[in-house]
Amino acid sequence: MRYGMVIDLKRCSGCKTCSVVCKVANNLPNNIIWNRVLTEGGNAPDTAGGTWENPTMQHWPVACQHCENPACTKVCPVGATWKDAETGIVRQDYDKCIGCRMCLAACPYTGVRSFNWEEPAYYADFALGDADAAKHEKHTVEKCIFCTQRVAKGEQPACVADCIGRARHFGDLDDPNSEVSKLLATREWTQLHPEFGTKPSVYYLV
Amino acid sequence: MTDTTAAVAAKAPAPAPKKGGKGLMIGIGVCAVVMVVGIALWMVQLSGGMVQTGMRNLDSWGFYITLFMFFVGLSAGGLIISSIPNAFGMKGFGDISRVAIWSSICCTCVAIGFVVVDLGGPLRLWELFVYSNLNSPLMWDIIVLSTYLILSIVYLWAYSREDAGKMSHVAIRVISIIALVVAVAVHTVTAWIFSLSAAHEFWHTALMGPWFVASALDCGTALVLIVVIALQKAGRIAFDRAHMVNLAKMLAVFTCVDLYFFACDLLTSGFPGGSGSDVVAMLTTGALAPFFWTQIVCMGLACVILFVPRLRTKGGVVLASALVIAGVFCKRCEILVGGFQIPNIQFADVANSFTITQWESGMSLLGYQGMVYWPTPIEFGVAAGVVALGGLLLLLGIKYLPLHLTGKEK
Amino acid sequence: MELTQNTIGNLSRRGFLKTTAATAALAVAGGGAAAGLAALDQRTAMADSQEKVCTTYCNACMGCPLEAVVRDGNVVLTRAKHIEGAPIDAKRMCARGASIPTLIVQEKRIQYPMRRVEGTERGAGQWERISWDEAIDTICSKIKEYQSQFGPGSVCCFSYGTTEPRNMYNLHRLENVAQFSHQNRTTDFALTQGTMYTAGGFFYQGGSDMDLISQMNTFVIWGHNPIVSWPNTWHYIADAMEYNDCKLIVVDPNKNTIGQKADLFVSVQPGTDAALALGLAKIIEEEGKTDDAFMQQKSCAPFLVKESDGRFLRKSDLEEGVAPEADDFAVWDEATDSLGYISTAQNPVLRKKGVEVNGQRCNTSYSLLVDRLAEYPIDRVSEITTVPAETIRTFADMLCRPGKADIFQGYGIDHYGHGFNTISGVSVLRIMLGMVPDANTKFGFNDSGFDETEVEHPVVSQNLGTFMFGDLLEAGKYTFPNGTVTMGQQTMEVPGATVEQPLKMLISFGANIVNSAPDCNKTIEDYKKFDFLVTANIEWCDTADISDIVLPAATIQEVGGPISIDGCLVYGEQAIEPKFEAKSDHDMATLIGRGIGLGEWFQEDFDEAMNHVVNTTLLTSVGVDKDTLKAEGVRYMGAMPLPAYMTMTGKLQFYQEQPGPIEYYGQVMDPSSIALPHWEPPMEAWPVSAGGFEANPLAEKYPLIVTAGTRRFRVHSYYGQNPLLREMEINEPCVRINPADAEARGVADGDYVRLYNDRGEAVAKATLSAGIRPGCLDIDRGWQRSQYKKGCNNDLTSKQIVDWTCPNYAYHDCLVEMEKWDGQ
Repeated sequence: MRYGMVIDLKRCSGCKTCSVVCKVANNLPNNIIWNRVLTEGGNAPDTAGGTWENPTMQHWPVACQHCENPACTKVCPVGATWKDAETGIVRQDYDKCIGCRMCLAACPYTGVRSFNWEEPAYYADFALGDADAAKHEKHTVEKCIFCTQRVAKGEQPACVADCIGRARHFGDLDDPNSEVSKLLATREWTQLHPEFGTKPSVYYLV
Repeated sequence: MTDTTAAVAAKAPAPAPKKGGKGLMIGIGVCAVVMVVGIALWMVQLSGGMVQTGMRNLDSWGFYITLFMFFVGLSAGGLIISSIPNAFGMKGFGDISRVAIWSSICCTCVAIGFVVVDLGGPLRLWELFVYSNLNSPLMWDIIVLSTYLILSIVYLWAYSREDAGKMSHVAIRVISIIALVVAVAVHTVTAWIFSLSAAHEFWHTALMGPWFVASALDCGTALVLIVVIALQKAGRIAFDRAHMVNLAKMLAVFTCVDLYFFACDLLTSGFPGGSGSDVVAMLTTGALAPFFWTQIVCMGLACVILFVPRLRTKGGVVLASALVIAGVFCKRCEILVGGFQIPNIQFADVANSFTITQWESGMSLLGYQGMVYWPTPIEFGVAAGVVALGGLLLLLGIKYLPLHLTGKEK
Repeated sequence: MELTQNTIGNLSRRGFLKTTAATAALAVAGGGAAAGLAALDQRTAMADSQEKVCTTYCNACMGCPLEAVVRDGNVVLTRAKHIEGAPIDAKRMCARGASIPTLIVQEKRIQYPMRRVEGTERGAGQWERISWDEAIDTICSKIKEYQSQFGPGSVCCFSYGTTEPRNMYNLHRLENVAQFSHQNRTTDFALTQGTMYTAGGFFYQGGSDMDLISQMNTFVIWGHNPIVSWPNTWHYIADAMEYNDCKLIVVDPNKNTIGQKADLFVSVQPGTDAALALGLAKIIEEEGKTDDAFMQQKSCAPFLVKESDGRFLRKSDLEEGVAPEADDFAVWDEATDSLGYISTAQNPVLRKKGVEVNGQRCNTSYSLLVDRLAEYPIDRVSEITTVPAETIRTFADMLCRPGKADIFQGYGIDHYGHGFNTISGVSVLRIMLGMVPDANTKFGFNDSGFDETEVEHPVVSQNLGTFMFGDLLEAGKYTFPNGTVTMGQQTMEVPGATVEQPLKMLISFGANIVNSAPDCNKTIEDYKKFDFLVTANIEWCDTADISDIVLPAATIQEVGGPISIDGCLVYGEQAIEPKFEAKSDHDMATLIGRGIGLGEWFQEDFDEAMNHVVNTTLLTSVGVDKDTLKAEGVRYMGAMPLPAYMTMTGKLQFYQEQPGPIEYYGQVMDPSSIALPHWEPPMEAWPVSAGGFEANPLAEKYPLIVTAGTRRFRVHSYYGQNPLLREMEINEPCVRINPADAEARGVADGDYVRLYNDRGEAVAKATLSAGIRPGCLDIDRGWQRSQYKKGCNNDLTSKQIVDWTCPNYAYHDCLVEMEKWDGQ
C-alpha cells in the first residue's frame, strides 16, 4: 500500500488551520512548521499577483510530498530518513539523524524539511498534542510524517481531520477503491515539480 | 584559507639551517592557539545550537561546506600535481613530493574537519560506519576521502621506506598512480554531493565533476607553485626555472579549462531561457555577482600573467597563483550559496528565524532578496580553528617528519 | 546513547506495520470501520496516558464546539467536535480554535491581579502584583465612594465579558443591580439593525441554518470575507460550488481571498454598495424578473402607504374599534378590484399608485420603492460604483439564475457612515427575488442577568457610547446634535438630547476597547480622564496598559458554560482548573457584588447561575435544560420555524414606517430618511465626484481610503498575541497596497509606510497586492499598539463619523495619505 494525500486546491482557502493543528498534534518546536500554506500571487501571504485588472492568488498547502522516489532517503548517509516500504510514508528517525542536512539540500520541495537549529523550544511548558508524538531533538532534521502515530491507529493525519475546507483527503493510492484513488480518477490533478522524477504521493486537484 | 601558505611564508624569512627555526615554532604556537579557540567556539556552536551560524533551512549549508569543497580541491590538486612527475617518470621539483603529500594530508584533514564541524550530531559519527547508506553520495565521499587519506599516509610512509632503502622507486610510482586516480575520484565524488541532487538547478549538471577536477588542478597547481617558490626562497629546495615556467603554463591551461567549463555550463543553462537563465542572472547580475566577477577577474588576470612570458617572474607567478586560489574560492562560494539562492517553490509564506537569517526584513519565506546566506562570526572562528588544525599539522610535519626539505642543493 | 533503530517516539516500526495492516483491512471493509477504530483508539489513548477529552468551545468569534484533550491538567490539543444530527458534516475549528492550548498559557496571559505602581503615570508600564482580596477591596471601596458622591451611574461597566459571547449573565446582573451605566460598543449595529428591520434576522446569526448555503445555486457574498472572518462558513460555500454548480459572486472593493474564489467579482467604490444594489433592483424590476408571488405573500410590498404621513394604511385607520391584535394592513386586491386586507386578499397588487381611501391618497409600498429605484439608472450606478454597466447587467442576470440564491451580507459594508442604507439596500434585492428563507430562529441563551422570575427588576442601565466619554468626563454631560425630522409633509428641527452623567470609574470586562474603538488617541485621552480604571482580561492588552487595576480572567476551558452556534447548543465543560490566579467573570462579578453590599443577588455558584441561562421558556419547551445539555455537550437543534418574520410588521420590509434606532442614547434620528433604502456617499471616504455628489475636499490632502480588514489569526485583538498563531503571519502589522499606489509614493514591497491623517498615524509594513483596489489600502486589524512601530490602525479612524440611524462606528469611512516611513 502507498499512503497518499489528495488536496483540492479549489477548496483550500488558505486558512492555515492545517499548519496549526499539525504544530499542535506533533508538538512541533517553535519556528518549526511542517505544513505550510503558501500563497501563489504576491510576495506576502494572502496577497495577489498579476494586475488589478486580473489579480491572481492561489493557496498551496505544501508539506513533505512522501515521494515514491524520494531524493532525501537516497542521500541520507545513515538512513535516518527512510521510506517505509509497507506504507509509502517517508519517515524520519530523530534519534539517528547526524544532522548533516544532506536531505535538506536534496529535497526539491523548498521549505518542507526543517532543522532544529537549537534546542527545541516550546510555548507551553508541557508537551502538546498526541501523547505518542515523536520527541524532537536539537540538531536533527524533521518534517511531515503523515502523522504516523495517528495513521497507525487508523486515524487521519491531523491536517486532514481538521481541514476547514474539506480539501484534504488521505488514503491508499494503491487501492483503486480508496477515496483518494477515486478522486484522482475523476478529477484533474497536478503535482509539485514532477520534473524531478520524485513521484510525489501528494496530489493537487485543480 | 591561505593560513597554510601564510604559515609557510611566515617562516620563510627565518634562516633555516636546521629543522625548526623560531618562525616555525611561532607558527606552531599560533596555529595551536587558533585551533584551541576554534574548538572552544565549536563547543559553543554545539551547546548553544547551530542557530548561531548563518545557516538556516533554506540555506542549509554554508561556510563550512564551502571550505570543505575548497580544501578537498586543494588537497586533491596538490597531490595530483606533485604526483604526476612521479607517476609518469618525469623530472619534477626534486623532492617536493613529500611535502606535497603531507600538505595534501593536512588539507584532507581540514576538509574532514569541516564536515565534522558542520554536523549537528558529531557524537553520532559512528553511525556512519554502522548504518552506512551506500546510496548516499556523502557516504561515497566519506569512503573515498578515507581511502585517500589512508593512501596518502601510505604514500608518505613509502617514501620514508624508500629513504631507508627498503622500498623500490617502482613501488612509489605504483602508489603515486593509485593516489592520482583516487585524488581525481575524491574531487569528483565531492562534486557529486552537489550535482546528483536534482533539486538545485545550478548544481545538477554532469559537468560538475570534471569542473571540480579542473578547479582542483588549477588551485592545486597554484598551491604547489606558491609552496615551492616559498621553499626555494627559504633556501630549502632548489629547482630549474624551466620547471616553474612549465608548471605556470600548466596552471594557465588548467585555469582556462576551469573557465571554459564554467562558460559551457552557463551557456547550457542560460541558452534555453528557462529556469537556467535565472541561474545565469543570479551569477552575472544577481546576488552572487560580486563573487562571480571577482572569480572571472582573478582567473583572467592570472592567465594573462601566466601566458605573458615577461610577467612570468617568481613574484608574478606567486601573484597569479594566489589569484587563481582566490578565484576558485569565489567559485566555491558561488556554487554553495548559488545552489540555495533560487528556491524551487517561489510562493509566499512567512519566514521565521529557522527558515532564513534575514527573516525579519524579508517578509516572505521564499521571496528573499540579497544573498540568502552570509557566515556569522562564530563560523569564521570555527573555520579558522579548523584551518589552524591543518596549519598545525603541516608545521608539525615540517618540523618532525622526514620531508626532505633541508639542504638539498641543485 | 540508546539507539533504537527505526523507532519513532513510543511507536516501534513493527507495531506500526501491524496496526496499519489492520487498518488497511478495515478501511477496505468500509468507511464506518475507521470511525469505530478511531473511537476505540480514543479510549485506548485515554487509558494509556491519563488523557481526558472534554467538550469545550472557542470563543474567538462564533463559539465553535470543540473537543479539548486534557493531560495532566493542561489542554494539550483541541479538535473540531463532531456534531451529531447535523444535516451535513458541520465540524468546525479554524486556526484560532486550534491554537487554544497555547492561548491558555501564552506569555501575555494576565496571571495575577496587578496594580499600577503608586506614583507612576497611567500607561507607564509599572505594575505590582496584589492579592485578589486587595484588588476586590480597592475596587469595591472605589465603587462605593463614587456611587455615593456622584450617583450609581458614575461607575460605568463594559459587560460583554472576557469570554465573550455568552458567559456574561452575572456581569449583566452586577451592572444592572448595582446600576452601573453601560458602555455600548457602538459597533456592528448597522448590519444588525439593517437586517433585523428588513429581513427579521441576520443571515448568519439569526434564522437560517448554515447548511442552507450548500444548497445554493447562486450565492452572493457582499462586503465581507467569510473565508477570513468566519472561516467555517467556507466549506458550505465550497460544497455548493462543487456539488451544486453554484455560481459565487463577491462584491467588495478589494479582490481578497474570497474574491479569488468567485465566478464574478465586482469591485465597487467603497461605500457605494447601496447604489449598486438599487441599480440591480431597478434592472430586475424593469426586466420583470421579480418574484411577485413571494413579495405578495411575505413582504410589505402590497401594503398601502398613506401619502399624508408615510405610514401603512391599517384596518384601524378605516374601522372603529379594531383591537390591536386584530389589526390588518390594507392592500388593493386585484381579484376583487377593491380595497382588501393582507390577511384575506387573494391577489394583493404590488404596483399601484394613487388609491383614494377615505380621502387619503395611498400607494403600495412597492410602487414607492419602484419610484425610489428610478433614481438609480444603470449609467448613474455605474458612475457611482465604477462598476462597468456590462458587469452590472451580468450581475443582474446571475442573480436571476434559476434555483436557490441568496446574498450573505457582512460587517464590511456596515462600517461606513451610511451602513444601514447599504444593508437595507441589499436586503431589497433579497426580498424582490424571493431569496429570504422562511421565518425561523435559532436558539439562544438568556444573558440578561436575571432569571425569568426576576425580570421585573429595573434592569435598564444608562446606555453610553465610548464616543460620549470625553464630554461626560469633562463636563458631566453629552449633548447630541440637533436633527431634522420629517413627518409626512412636515419637517421640523429637533434638538438633540443632553445626557447628564458624571463618570468616575470604568470597569472593563473583556474586549479591548482602547484598541478596537476608532480614534485610539482620543479613546486613550478620554480613558485617562477616568478617576479609576479596572480591566479584567485574559491577555494583556492596550486597555490593560492604561488601567489602574488589572484582573486575570479565566478562559472558556477553565470555566465552561453554554453557547449557541449555527443551530447547535453547546455546553463547555470546565476542562482544566484556572491557570495562575485567573477567575471567571461569574466569580469576579460575585466578588464585586458581594463587596458592595449586594450579596443577596450573588448567592449562586456558576453552575446554578447557568440554570437561568439555559432553562428559558423557549428551550425548556423543546426539551432542553442545563443538566441534559451539559451531559450531552452539543445538541444540534437546527432552526425553529416562526409564524412570522421578526420585523415590525411580521413581513419582510423594504419600507420602514416609523423606525427608531436599535441602540438609543438620546440621538435625533429622522425615520423618513430610512423609510426606503437609498444611497448616500460615505461621510468621509468619498474622494471622487460622482452621482451628483461632490468629492470630499479632504481627499485632496488624504486621497486614499483605508479599511482595516479582518485577519485570519486574530479576532479584533483577541488571539493576536498567541505565539503559535504569530508564527503563521508576518511578524508585525502590515498594510496591503496596490502596486500602483505604492509606486507613486516610492514604496517597495516590505518597506515601512506611514499612514496618516489629521487624527493620527500608523506605521505598518507595506505588502503589495494586485488585489487591492487602486486608491484603497487594507491595513491589518487588531495588533496592539505596542506591536506597532508607531501609532495604530485605529489612530486613523474617527469617532465623529457616526450615522445616528444605528448609531455605528464607521471604521472603513476613513481617508489617509501614505508615505514611506523614514524610521522617525
